[in-house]
Amino acid sequence: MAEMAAAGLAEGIAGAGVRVTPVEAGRIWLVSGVEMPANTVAGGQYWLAPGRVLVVGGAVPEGALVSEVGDGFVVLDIGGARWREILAMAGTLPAGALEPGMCAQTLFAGVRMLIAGRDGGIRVFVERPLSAWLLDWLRQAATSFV
Amino acid sequence: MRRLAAGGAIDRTRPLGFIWEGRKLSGFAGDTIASALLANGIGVIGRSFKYHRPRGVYGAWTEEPNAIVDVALGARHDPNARASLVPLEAGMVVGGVNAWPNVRRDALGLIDLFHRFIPAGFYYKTFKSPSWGAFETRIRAMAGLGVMRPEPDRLLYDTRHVETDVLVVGGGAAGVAAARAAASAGLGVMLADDRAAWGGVLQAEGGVIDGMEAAAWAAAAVGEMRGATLLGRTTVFGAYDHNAFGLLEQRRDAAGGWAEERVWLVRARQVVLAAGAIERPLVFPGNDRPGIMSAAAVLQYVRHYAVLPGREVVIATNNDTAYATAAALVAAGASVTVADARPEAPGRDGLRVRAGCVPVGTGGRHGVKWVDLALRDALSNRERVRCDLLAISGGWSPSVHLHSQAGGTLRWDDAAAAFLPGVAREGWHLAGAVTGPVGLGAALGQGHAAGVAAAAALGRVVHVAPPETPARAVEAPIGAMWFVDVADRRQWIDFQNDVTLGDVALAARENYASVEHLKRYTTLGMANDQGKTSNINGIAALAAMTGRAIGEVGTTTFRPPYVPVSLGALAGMRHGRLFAPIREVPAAADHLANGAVMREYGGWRRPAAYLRIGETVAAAIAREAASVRQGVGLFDGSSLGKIEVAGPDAAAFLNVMFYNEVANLKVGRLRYCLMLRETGVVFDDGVVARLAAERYLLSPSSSHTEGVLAMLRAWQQTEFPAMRVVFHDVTAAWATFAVSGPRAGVLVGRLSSDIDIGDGALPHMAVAEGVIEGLPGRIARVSFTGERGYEISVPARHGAAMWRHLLGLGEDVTLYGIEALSVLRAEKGFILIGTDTDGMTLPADLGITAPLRNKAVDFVGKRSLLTPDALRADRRQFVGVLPEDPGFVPAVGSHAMVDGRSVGWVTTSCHSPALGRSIGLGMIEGGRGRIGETMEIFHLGKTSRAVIGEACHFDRAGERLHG
Repeated sequence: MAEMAAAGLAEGIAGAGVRVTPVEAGRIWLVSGVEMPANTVAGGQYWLAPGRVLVVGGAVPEGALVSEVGDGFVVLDIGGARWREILAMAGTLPAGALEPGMCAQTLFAGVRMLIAGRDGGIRVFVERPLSAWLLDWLRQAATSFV
Repeated sequence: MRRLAAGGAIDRTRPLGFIWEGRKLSGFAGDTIASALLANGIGVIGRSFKYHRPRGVYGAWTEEPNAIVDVALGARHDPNARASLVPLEAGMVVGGVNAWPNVRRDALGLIDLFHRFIPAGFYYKTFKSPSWGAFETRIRAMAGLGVMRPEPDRLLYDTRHVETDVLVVGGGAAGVAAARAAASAGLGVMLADDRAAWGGVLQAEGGVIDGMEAAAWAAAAVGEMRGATLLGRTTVFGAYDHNAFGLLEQRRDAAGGWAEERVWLVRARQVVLAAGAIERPLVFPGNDRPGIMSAAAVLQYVRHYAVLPGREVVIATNNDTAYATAAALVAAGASVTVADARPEAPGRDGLRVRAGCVPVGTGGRHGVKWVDLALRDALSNRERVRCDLLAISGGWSPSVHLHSQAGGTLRWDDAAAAFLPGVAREGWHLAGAVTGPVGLGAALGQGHAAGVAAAAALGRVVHVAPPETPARAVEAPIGAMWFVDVADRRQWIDFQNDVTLGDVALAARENYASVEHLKRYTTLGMANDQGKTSNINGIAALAAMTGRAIGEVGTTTFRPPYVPVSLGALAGMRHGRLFAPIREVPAAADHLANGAVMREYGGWRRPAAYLRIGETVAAAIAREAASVRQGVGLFDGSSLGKIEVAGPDAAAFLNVMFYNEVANLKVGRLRYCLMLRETGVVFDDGVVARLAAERYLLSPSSSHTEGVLAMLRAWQQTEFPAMRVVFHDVTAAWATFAVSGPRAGVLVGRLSSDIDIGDGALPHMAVAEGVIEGLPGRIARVSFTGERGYEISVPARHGAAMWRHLLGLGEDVTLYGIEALSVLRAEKGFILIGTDTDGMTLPADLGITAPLRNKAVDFVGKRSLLTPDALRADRRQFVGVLPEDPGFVPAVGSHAMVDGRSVGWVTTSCHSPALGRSIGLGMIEGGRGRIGETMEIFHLGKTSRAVIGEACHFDRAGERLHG
């Protein structure tokens, strides 16, 4: 049996007031048939749409229909003093909608993704095929002046 | 030099050298290009759009119609910059536009001599034969603006999206008062003004507010606003639905390749519009010469830029505001004569004022040298007055643009001689000169009240007192004057587009009585100044010519943008490699290392072909396609859609969604299926796999995955909400590689896997899950090439490693890209959705009719397949095309001609390595009934011949799938 190496984490970005850190989030499942308050995060469950959640790292709810999609996402933490500015460059979602414990599935830099609030920034779940493009975008955005 | 020895907001310690039309000149930090040119005594700055008449600076801000210049500095280039708006920078190279060899001696200035023959709309009447197109290029070359450079713009642009409690448009007295009040209520305030310094006209007009010098008060008040977003040098260029606004910020700190321009997209809960007003010119014969300027602009040049545009000055006005200009000019040492059109002109100390007097003519080739003045009631009795500056004021037009764009109403007010805002939109509050003629005290009061109202609307209370200013003398009312009623109708209304009173009169004579028709016939207000100085004068002239009241004529529609916005700024970061998001396959880096030419296909960057050293793309495609038929090929199919459909009702639901029967599909088997729209049109095709009784895996086309997912969800949510079925797009989680060719089984057999790939266990159109090289995965027997084929799927993170592993399993493995796959599938006559099909194609057109006959349950689109149109015998049908010349590949889109009539077209064509000749596919009327017939192929005037044949050109029995 051959060794099938997994792709490593992408290189992060350290710009003036902007820090992008790829993270290993563990296993991820798309789960349908689970209800939770809209646009919230709780116990590793991220609300995606009515009846649909993304379960990250935690236990998969029983009785739900699941698909494992851990390989389908690249997870990035975006922080630094100017993370709100990066958010304002990327789309219309206001930073106030991304307090810790809140999340939204929306367009960021024209790419549909799940964005969750965290202390001092946001965590984004982007489709793996779009992650290289998004990192290019973030790399350029990070050089924009205040 | 016309620079005053003292005063102004310029920094005299920082001289800035720049080039004007090849000459080295100097200005100061704080100058605009316009003020620097005026300070250097440059009179002629541009040529007019149509008549190529010499033009100088007229205005001091966004209203400037004449001083359009070409500005370059480093990577920045603006071919149509407003000289009055561009801050001077050291090293700027500035030149005129629309002139040759230069703006002072423009050869095309001769056109003006023939003005009688080229009035408004002359081209509609003159250039009819042989066609307008025969003249258009030359006319456009003669009339126009600056010229773009051909190279791409290297600057970077960005965008900001913001929500705010209160957006205050305008940082003058009223705007600052409003923002100050709203901010004191603890609201989030965004204050935008297109100038660098706060205070607007206070900068030039002065005054006292709360005991402070007015401009200093504005700066202090803004400085005290906590948490406010302050956007200087920012123009609110558009008001859109639901209080959405577009703002263009000119950044001073742009660096590192970033452009100066940034667009803000703002949503505001409350809006205060304090955009001020724009001074109109007076309309009289010869009013467009260099040296004839807006009186308000002259005041700014004197006070703000310390420039004296003339020493022998005549001021022509019909209102009181020009007297501030007169006072400033006198104080700066100029000799001033005021011609006031009002019979009861106010007397002022130290000024020669001629009451009831208007200009009726001017002279001076490159700058005004004299003006003829006459009493309004005795226009033929003229007196010639020498001057080197004629400052004019025809009254003020409130900047109601945004109010009107948002849907606010306007009403004509005779006393103010202006269109004033009527009913404002909900959440809008108007203050200051935008509401009509107001003094400083009223502007401050209205601004404060607007801030209070905005705060109240959001449930907040203002905690500051209204600003106070000493009472001033009440101004005398304006005496409206729209043009001078003399025989000479070369009285300019629209300077930038060269529209005169004579043009308006001509339009009226020809019954263009609607202001919208007037605009389009004469181009009045259609230049990139959008008629800021000309619209009201034009409307008033049309009213007079057609015997109507001005309010009855009305205005044209105000539309964004208020100022020109560059396409780069609107695009923001969406250009170059960031133009649009593009997906990468997991093994992208390996493909490049393998020599792949990567191209975009349906939003994915994929290998088109793998080039060997010295090989062309065409040769690589032929080699790859031939190798797959002879040995074994490896293809990256990771972009192929993967949608998991699961649940107790998955089978029943999918049976409704697909044209083909899928409920009876056995577990572990695949079926090629079509998905139709309600119209019966083929929306997508793909393979449906049944992985378990209640779990399917769909493989939509790469570019259709989101569309298919959306369609599944829409039908489930709207028509079948009771069905227990879910849809998960897992495309990104998997890497999929196709191994195809007679030796495919040998290669796949070398994989370490618990999946039995023997033909008994895994026949064609079967799928099995298991472990592949230690990874969870799937192997499917499926083929888009017509050869024995396997699709191997593993978790995406391991995709690159698996690609390299497969490549290492056999020395004879040929990598093949999309283009070779397209040749292989064309040889087999397999359709490509959107290439061979279009928005009219039904399944029967493709020869796929069995489900309609045999399927027991209803499915999406079925009803549409039974209409008379769907059953017509002469519908275009999918067939093969064999050119008579086997070396000729007809262009895709070539017409198929029978008896001189187009009966369809070629949808796919290529050279087939397997057949050693050109082949094609096409949609031909009644095509299957014409098999064996010869037709003509027509493309771009050339005709060739081809035979209509079966779509499948190669291995019709399909034996190679099992070979």
